[in-house]
Amino acid sequence: MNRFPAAEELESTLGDPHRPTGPLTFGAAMAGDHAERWPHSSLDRLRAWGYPAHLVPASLGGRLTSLEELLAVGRVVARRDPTVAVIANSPWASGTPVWLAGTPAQQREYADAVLRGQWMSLALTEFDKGADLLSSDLTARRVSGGYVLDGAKWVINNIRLARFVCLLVREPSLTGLRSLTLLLVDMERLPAGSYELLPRIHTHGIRGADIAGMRFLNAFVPSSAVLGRPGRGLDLTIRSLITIRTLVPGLSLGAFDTGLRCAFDVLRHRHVRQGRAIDLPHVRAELAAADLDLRVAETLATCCVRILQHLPALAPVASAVAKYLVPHLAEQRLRRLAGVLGARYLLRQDHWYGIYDKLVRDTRLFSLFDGSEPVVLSSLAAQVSCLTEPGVDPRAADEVFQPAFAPPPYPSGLAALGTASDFDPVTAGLDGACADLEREAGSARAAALLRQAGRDLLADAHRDVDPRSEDGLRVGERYARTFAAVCLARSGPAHWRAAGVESLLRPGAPPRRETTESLFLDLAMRHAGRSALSLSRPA
Amino acid sequence: MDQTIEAALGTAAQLDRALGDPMDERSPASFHAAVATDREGRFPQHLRDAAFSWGLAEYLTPAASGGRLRSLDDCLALFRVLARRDLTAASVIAAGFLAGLPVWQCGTPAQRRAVAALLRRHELLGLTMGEAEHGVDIMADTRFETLAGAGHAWRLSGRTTLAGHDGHAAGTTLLARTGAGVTAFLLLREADRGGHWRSDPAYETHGLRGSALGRLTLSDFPAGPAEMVGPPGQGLETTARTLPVARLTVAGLALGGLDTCLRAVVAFARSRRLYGAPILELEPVAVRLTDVYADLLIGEALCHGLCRAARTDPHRFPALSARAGDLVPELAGDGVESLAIVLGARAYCATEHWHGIVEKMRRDVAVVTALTDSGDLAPAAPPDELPPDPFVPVPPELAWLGEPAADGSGDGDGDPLARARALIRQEGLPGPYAPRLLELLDRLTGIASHGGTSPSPGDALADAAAACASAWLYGRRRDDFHATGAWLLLCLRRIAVRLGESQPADAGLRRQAVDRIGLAHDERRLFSDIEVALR
Ligand SMILES: Cc1cc2nc3c(=O)[nH]c(=O)nc-3n(C[C@H](O)[C@H](O)[C@H](O)COP(=O)(O)OP(=O)(O)OC[C@H]3O[C@@H](n4cnc5c(N)ncnc54)[C@H](O)[C@@H]3O)c2cc1C
Repeated sequence: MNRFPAAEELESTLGDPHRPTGPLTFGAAMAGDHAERWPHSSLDRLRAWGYPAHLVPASLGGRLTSLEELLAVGRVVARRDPTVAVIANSPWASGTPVWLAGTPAQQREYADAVLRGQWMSLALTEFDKGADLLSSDLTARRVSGGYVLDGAKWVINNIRLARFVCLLVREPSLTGLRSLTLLLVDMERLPAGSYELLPRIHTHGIRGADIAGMRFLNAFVPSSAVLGRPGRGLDLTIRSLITIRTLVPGLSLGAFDTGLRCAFDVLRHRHVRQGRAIDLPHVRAELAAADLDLRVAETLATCCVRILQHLPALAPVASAVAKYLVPHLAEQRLRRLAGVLGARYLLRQDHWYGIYDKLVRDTRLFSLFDGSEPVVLSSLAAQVSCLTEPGVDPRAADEVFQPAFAPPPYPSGLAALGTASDFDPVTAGLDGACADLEREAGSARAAALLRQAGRDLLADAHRDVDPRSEDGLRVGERYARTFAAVCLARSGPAHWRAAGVESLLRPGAPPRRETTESLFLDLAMRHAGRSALSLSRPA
Repeated sequence: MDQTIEAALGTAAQLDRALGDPMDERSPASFHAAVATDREGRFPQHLRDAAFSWGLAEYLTPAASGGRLRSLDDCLALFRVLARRDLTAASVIAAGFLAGLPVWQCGTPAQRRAVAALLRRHELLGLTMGEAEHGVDIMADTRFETLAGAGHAWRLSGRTTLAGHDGHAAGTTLLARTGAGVTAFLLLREADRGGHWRSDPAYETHGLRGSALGRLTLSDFPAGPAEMVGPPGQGLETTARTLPVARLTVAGLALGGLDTCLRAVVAFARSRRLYGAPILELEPVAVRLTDVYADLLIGEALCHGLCRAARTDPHRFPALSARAGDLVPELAGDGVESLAIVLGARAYCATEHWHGIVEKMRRDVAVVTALTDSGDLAPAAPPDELPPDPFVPVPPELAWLGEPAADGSGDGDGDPLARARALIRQEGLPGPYAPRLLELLDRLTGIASHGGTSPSPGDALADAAAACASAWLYGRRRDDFHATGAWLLLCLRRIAVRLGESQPADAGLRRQAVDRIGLAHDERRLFSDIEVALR
């Protein structure tokens, strides 16, 4: 049974991405990228299909109940053009504070605007402040009936087009962790002359997107714009970012999918001394390893998105794991495959309209925004002590790993979402996962590696680790890889589960030859079809 | 390391100073100009002109042919400083140099004079990159069909890809299938009297945007013995001889690109404040910078080791280059990626920090290896598959390679890892690093002498370790950082990490490295083991 009818329907509606022209084709993606042009026709096509409804919770008039489906839908778009996917999904992502903490009136207005196809922004970053949100310079002074805003935001997606902006501000009258507030600013009601849109910022990837800044000049915003409670903006921002980080992997997966498919095709047609490039053992091994990473990434992304809806208390850990590993695996593999492609990779107009290079550039953003690699790893290091919590029942996570998964409709379960996890039932299931692996032929090495990783991680959990130190980042990475390996051991299909666990725990080591060959043949078969390499996790 | 290398870097420093301050937007050799021309897809003609005005042509012409090029050290150093400005211009010049190599190695005196003359007119050859439909597989492609005529006269027809400032290439060396097999030719565009040479608009490329690959179409281009380079039917062997040099050249380009990225990111890490302090004080940021600095030193030592081998032991040079040559672009590629993480959003914005030069370098470093892409697709050709002794005979054909070093390099004979170990054991080292160094040297000596006949991925790293030990033996009295063994430890730790062996944190060593990086930045010196003052 197909679990993502909307994604399948979208995929078939959009048709063959190899057509020479037309919305959401590789040709259109490259032409838009070259001209740094906003992808009008592709976005119109999505709107005509009804994409905006998939970004709005069903309770507010949309069709969004399952984030797993949103992940799949985003992936369908990203595999054709990651730039379009970033833009198309941004009204949902920008609205995460609204979905989590908006008043009914705020939610209603925001949802209606999204359904009408309007654009939105989430504005956190400032020119001189990146991850250090607490030092934001954009201030909101309290005045009668509202706030007066002064200061600027920088590198914000869609800010020049936005109807609503979720804006992080600092209240000078407040101090410390409770000095930030999130406001839902309606740009149509902002007095003219009280703000200035800054020029578009040219970027190396997602070149068609409209990235810019905005300066507020004594701009008045009514008190009704406050999202959640005043002074609790940091908490709400972190919870929103946790949600967004869980969904970013869908974009990476789409780009990874096309990149692998494209590389496979190039190498299939490339002739070398001994015959076809694809018949060389080291080329097969590279492609098989890339496919293994894609499967690992896909499984992990699915588990983490399910955790967000089923076990939101664990989402602060799971979101960081997904946000680190999935974009990382995609980016690293695309870079490596570019090396295998060799000089062919240089040619822009050549194969598949030259989409490969665009994928390389676009995917780099995914490890960078909404929490860069060091930031998410240090957030994992800060949470690793949750592993010392006694008596955590691994069965709490069982549902996440079942083939069929029916979560409470989004965003109803998310009230329990906090900013850090106090316990981790996934990693608590490590012993059970190892025991399962040990029962399978050929999986002993994977089981041993996982047991060792678990022991090392537990030792880390008992240490005093500075999350912003190098040691902290290493602990964060170990946590991410171990967590991911347990997810894989508990839900990956038997024929590559052990290989996946090994690749996570021994990054860079090539898979075993038998595994390589079977993975390669499987990839070749799936490549014969033109749809995404996999839209849903095999049961 | 030896005096030849120091002299070559000295010459390169002169070129760098002549090119002016890369941060000065008005300078034609600035980062601003590099990025601007790249965005517009134009070739950075201004930088090329400036380099040639300085006298680059002389350094691209071997001394035996009247130029000043005496060793590969010169090429390496010059391409390195050119690349630090703009990899596009540097790569085009490098492509021209590589295209001329078969002529210097096997060409006739008349051909050498012709190539020297075109260089003096500030013109360059284009480098063929194989037939478009077959990637760059020189062995399998049929390239140019030939019409054999009497007395070795051919008419060459076909289409190929030319790397270099397309449309401006003054000629090329290429392979054509003749009756005798595959033969190499030097074709000069000026010899075309009747539309036999046509260049089509440049391909658009991802990296090196303005340098471009172009399509060259020959229709009945006349060629006779005067155009033939080397004996008929020996074309593949002739061009394969250039591969070891090509690898070294690419390594030099990669080192130059990485130098600029490190420089730009150091400046950023000192000025960007986060959580109340410059981000350079965040340990992970300092670690990244230190690691890249170490990679640069390793890459440099390896390249200099290869240059020395080409001078002192030309028979071994091809095999050594095949084993280790690709490691340097790999180190540079990884280094640039790591530095981009430090830059964060600024690495992604096209006009931000230092005009976006880091991202341009990032793209260019990733593709610069295409210049050595033989289409072989094997990770590294095993030494015994290389043509035999590509650098033999040495004189007179290859006199430009210079005489074997008699410059008191202090390198002596034997394995430098073993010698470093023996020296530390016997003499000890001031400071705390001797025990750790001995441990690492033992470990790496074990890897270097694993004795397997088939090449392994560790070979390049073992060679790199040996090159570092050799460089340290030569320069160990230079300053405290060398005398205490800190320099060697910094490099060997990185090599061990790349071999999969994690290393314990060493905050003291890192602090020293960060200070040195800062000093080289402030004093505008190349990030190098040798003091090379830049503009
Ligand atoms: C194309 C694009 C679109 C974007 N869209 C938006 C948007 O719509 N809304 C928005 O608010 N922002 C947006 N951003 C900003 C993005 O989320 C920022 O990149 C992010 O906030 C981080 O800031 P920074 O990159 O300036 O790096 P900084 O956070 O300033 O980090 C600088 C350096 O410090 C290191 N560092 C930081 N914290 C730690 C730590 N805890 N431990 C160790 N090292 C650390 C980092 O690795 C990095 O090396 C966008 C960025 C881009 C490029």
